[in-house]
Amino acid sequence: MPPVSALDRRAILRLIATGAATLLASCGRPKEDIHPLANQPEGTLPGTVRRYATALPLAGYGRGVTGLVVDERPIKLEGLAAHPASLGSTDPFIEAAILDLYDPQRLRAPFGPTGPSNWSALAALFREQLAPTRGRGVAVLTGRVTSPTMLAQLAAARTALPEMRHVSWEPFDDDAPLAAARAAFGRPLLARPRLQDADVVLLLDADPLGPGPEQIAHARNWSDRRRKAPMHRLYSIEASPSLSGSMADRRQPAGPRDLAAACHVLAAALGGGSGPLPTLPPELERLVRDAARDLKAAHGRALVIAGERQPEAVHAFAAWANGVLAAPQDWIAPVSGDVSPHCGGLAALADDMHAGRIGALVVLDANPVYAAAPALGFKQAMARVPLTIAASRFGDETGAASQWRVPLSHFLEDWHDWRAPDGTASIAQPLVHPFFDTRTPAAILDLMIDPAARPGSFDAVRAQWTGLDDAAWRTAVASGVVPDSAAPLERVGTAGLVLPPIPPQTLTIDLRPSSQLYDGRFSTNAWAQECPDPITKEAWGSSARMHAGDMSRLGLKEGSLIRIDRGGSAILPVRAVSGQALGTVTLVTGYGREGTGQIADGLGANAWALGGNGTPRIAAQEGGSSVATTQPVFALEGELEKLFPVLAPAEAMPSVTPKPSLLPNPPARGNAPPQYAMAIDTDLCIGCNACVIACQAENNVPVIGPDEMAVGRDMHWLRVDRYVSEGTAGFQPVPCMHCEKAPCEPVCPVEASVHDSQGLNLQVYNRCVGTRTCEANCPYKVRRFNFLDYAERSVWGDAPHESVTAQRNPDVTVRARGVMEKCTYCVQRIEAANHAAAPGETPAPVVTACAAACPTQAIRFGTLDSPDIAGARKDPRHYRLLEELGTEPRTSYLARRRNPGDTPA
Amino acid sequence: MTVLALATFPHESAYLRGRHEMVTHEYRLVGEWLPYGSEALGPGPGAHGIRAAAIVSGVLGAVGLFALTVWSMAFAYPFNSGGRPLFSWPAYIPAAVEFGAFTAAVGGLIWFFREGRLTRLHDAAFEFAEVARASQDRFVLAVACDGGEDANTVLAILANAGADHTRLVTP
Amino acid sequence: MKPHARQGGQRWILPSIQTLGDVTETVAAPLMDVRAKRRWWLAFIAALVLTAVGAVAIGFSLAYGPGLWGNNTAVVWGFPIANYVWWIGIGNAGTLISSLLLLTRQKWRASINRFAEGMTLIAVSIAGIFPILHLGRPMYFYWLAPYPNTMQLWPQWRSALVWDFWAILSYLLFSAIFFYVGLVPDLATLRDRPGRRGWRRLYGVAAMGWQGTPEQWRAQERLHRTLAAIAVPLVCSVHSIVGLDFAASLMPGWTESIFPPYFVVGALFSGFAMVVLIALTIRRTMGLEGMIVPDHFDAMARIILAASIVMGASYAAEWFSAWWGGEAADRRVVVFELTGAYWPFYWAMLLGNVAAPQLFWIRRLRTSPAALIGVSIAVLVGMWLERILIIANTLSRGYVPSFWRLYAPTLVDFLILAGTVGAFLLLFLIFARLLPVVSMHEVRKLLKERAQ
Repeated sequence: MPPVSALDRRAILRLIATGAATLLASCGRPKEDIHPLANQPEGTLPGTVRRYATALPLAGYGRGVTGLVVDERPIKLEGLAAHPASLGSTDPFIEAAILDLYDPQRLRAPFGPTGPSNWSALAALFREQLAPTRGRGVAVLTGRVTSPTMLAQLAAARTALPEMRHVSWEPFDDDAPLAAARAAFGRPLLARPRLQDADVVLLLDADPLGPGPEQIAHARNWSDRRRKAPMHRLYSIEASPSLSGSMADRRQPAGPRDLAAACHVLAAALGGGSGPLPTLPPELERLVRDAARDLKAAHGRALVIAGERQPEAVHAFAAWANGVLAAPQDWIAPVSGDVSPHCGGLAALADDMHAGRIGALVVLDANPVYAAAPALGFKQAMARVPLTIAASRFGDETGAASQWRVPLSHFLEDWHDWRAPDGTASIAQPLVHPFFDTRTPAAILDLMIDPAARPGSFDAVRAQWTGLDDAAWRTAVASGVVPDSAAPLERVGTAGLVLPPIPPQTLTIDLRPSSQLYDGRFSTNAWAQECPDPITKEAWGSSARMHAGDMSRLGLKEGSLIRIDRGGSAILPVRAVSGQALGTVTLVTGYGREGTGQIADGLGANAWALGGNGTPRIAAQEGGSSVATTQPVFALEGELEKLFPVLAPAEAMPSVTPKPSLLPNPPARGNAPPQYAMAIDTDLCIGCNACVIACQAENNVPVIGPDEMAVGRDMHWLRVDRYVSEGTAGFQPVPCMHCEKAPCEPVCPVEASVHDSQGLNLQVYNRCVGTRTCEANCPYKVRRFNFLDYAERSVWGDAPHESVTAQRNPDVTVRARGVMEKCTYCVQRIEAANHAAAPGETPAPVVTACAAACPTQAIRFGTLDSPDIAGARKDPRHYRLLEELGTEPRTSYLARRRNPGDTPA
Repeated sequence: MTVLALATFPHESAYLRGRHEMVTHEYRLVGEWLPYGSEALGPGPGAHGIRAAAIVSGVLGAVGLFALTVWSMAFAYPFNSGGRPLFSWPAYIPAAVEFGAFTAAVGGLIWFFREGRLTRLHDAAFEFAEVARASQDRFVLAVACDGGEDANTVLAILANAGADHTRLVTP
Repeated sequence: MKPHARQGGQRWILPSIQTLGDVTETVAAPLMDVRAKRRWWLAFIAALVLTAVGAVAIGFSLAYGPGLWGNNTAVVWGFPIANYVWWIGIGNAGTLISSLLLLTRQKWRASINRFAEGMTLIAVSIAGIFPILHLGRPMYFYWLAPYPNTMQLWPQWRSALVWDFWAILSYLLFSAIFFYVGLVPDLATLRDRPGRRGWRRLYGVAAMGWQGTPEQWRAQERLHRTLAAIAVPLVCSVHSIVGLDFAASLMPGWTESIFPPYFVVGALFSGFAMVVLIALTIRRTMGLEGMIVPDHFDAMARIILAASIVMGASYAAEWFSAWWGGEAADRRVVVFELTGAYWPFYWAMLLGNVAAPQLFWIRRLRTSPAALIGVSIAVLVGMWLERILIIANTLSRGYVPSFWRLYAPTLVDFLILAGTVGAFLLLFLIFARLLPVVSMHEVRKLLKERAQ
């Protein structure tokens, strides 16, 4: 981690204001301390990267990030090593968040019932309408709130408006685990599994490695354990392939009925429960029995995790099982402060709204009209509320249903604080002056309390942390975490055995967070939309995932349109997914948006509309439409299995004798510059796509949009292939191989593809005439061609999109139309290290954007003699892709391992 | 006074007869114009000129381009292209061969112009209307003879040989 | 049409052509001096419209980029490269026919070589557009040429595309010289014919003072023969190099040593099909029945038949070597060719290139205009399909299954292809009005041989 400089608030704001003012003078509202760059702030150099610690929230939880700022523009977000929810790595959401800052679709000013408005009009409204009510009939709806400042503001608001109601609601809530803990231990607690200490893990439709606020930490902990011997073993029972299920050593698909039944069998095997056991499909039965045996054998190092969308009883069962197994798992009190059930809170609010008992509804950064259960009829309920105000960053469904739509700042534009899932607080400093007339949710609460309140997020946050003196404050801000602020671990008693009731075997709908869009909060993000789904590789849309057997039973083909009814309805194409449980239909959330702008509107169907209860109805619709995918084939058979070798725990890759070559060997590297190489451990890659978006952000990779994606012209320099080889699923990130005997180079007629002395395969954009011969001859197909001036074309429609260009990395060429481009091993970072090194001195180690992002550190980059690379190349699992072609790639892989136990998988 | 006897023949056989008569009578052939190349006239002088010119210029072109290739790849701007040797001679041959074929054609063409005395758009021969017939359908023969009786003899011989048109041209 | 029973030189000219003057009249009369016929104008306008459509499509492609075509990141090449290979194949035939038949003293070439060479020039010129057009940045195509520049950069001579650049350039210029050398005496004929002064002047300048003296004839014939001797290996090498664009790679289905000869035969094959079509057309429309006779078609049909057998053997060799070689990637490509997404096109290609020409085993069909037209079109379509399938099959089934993507051309692709067909017609129509489509001096010579 590079040092994070400690600057005081004024200095920071000055720098930020300078950049914002000069670069975005037209859209900011500079008021004070504006300097032209000619009067350079001391200690800054144009074009140099400065790093600031800050934080970003996901579902209310803060995750530390490092903001890379060049010429006062934040251009890239990386992980923050000191932060427990980042550990120095990122996920796709952190990587994509920087684009939101510059997104032309952002809301820029308050919009009232009669048209464009301003904050003082809203303040006047609050003064007239809220102040006299003492809060009666006033409701504030937020997401999960962990921010100490925000919690204090809410408390202050309740003081000013005593009868005001605050409802916390997250679409992906913790209601079930909290309720289970309340029943088991008498108080609401959240389990924090320590994957790093678990030898055997059983996932009950849980996806700790999948999208969510804790993905990075879980992935890091899991990978730490997986690196160690003896090999751990991951069992997964789930409805639809998830990232965790893909990485499992053994996995069986199961719908809710089989999962509940599996709990019964497992309970009996672990010594609990009595009576007749329900029947299970034989493969599932075998897996449950083997898992039970392994869990018992690994007492104290065995863990059962229930999926967050599983019913309360499954969580209760997991709590019991973990007690029996003395599982490596901690319990903490929820850090969000408010532990009332999210679902119930929202339902009660909706009831009151329908009944006309709510006079004013303020929605702060939540989107109930889109994501609330259809039974609540939230949109209709809002129509019954005399005053509705929705604050959001982008236009959304709730905003469209509100009288007032007010703009929120991007997280990087204002001061915030958040707590990580483990309770660690971070004070998030802004990296840039607000571009538009926007405020933070806390400032809007401020306005409700005191309509005369001045905007400004700093004072509120600073006031919250009066316990920190100035020095401690500066350290906390600069380091990104408040020391020793993690929640204390709770001691719990033993939970009683709860056996989940076994539901009937019916067709069920399984809603999951999208790995790119989460619950919909990244729907407007073009990078997120363009990022292929890890499992289906679908981009710019999502199909319903079904078992091929279910599809043929319903007479559906790949891409057939279906209409699903459960509460609401959704019309979308279907896709057969291997590994899907029979009788389940999986939909990911985040699609089917309305009124959000050019990016998300009209893509896919809203899965939340199926958030009702009961059995869904599925009907085939006329026609079909397939969602663009980047990968047509997942299952490898025969010779193709060589592409993704899977090894037993002690097995080694067969040694490959190099084929004879007519080409002379390269001269010995005597005094040669450092030779760079990359090693990717496919046994650790969880397919999260953080690297894909990190590469996009770092390397100015353009967004091409759904139509171009459908033609097959994706521009991602790094793709993550998903394969199922020898019955084992896994992911294989494929950047440029930087072959020493590169097939692309001798076929280029104009020397645009050449090799440098550091072993990099370079693409000289200026020289490229665009014959595309290099890509035609590339066995790995890692080159990307700019078919239509993607850098200048806008996927944002008519909205002026110049602001997006401010995100671009000034050290990376923006490629023109008709030019081939590809992964450069982040040559700009390599060259920066070379420039920084004194003559004759070895340059500092370089980390590529993908390697920096990787939460499991599966991607390692360095020189050939660095311990990481040299070690990987000596590893018995080491292999190179298509080695038999003699291309001698610098990017090489470590083989995926399987550890199915002593019974066949 | 020397005059020119011009005769046109409708067939190659007649023309060859007329020509043979003139040669036997030791008349000087001033000019011959044919509608196609007749093998009966024999190989003529300078049989290898064009071929030699084509070969020489072809070899020069090929070697020249090969030399440029080697110089530019191995000396002027050497770089690592997929680990291939700087002097990847087999890969440098095709372009050189193709270019050599072209320069051979150019060399041959130039020699053809020289040998065929072409590029003379204005020539004394074009003064005679008969010459124009040579490009259509007639064999044309021009013989130098003395004026008067001798000329008439010549015309008679030519007419006898099969000329369909004869005339005398007085300079 | 019935083939003539007479042998030797007599076979190749019908009795309707009696004198040297008949030859000149028949060939030269329909040229610029007389008003073009109505049907010529109709064809001209149709070709012009088609060309204009293609030009507009090319204009859009240049303005918006190659993204208007169906190419994608896996199938990076598409119609432009297929069109290029197809046209250059057609273009190879003219010079090859002319030179090979000249060297082997096939007298019957006299009446077909001129328009075949004209076809070559036009086809190669059209083909030459595509390598430039297909570029991402066509304005920099000249970077493939070695020229002094401030960056001191040179072309990358190991690339088959650079070889190709030299091959096309050399071949185009060489063919122009070859064509011109054969044309000079006929230009003199046109110069000396009565007619409009302006045109005669132009022909005169082009004829460079040709008189028809024995020295000139000897020089012309020597050069013609020398060029023919160079042309045969040149033509073979040109299309071999086009084959190397694919074969000098490591993609499955491309890296096959059979590619160069197979491309040469394919070129000859499609070229003869085009020559047959043109011969049938000009024979009827330009009154050349006396010079382009049924025996010509019989001979060309035999060559097409022979070439189709070679093509069939090449396909079989491709399948066999994929199977026998044991490379899984090669086998996948062959299986994909035969059964994959493009199978109807592959089987249509086999039908056109291998099955249809087998009709020419029947003597009667070798001179039947309907059969000749049908088979020639089948061959031309089949060869075009072969070109696009070579690209699409291999690039759609590369080494990594995660990047198996299919190719679907766009309207713009088709319009550009149609435009080149229009341009070919247009240029040929102009050629047929400006220059003698049959080599008059060579037919005159043939006439003499018939008389003997």
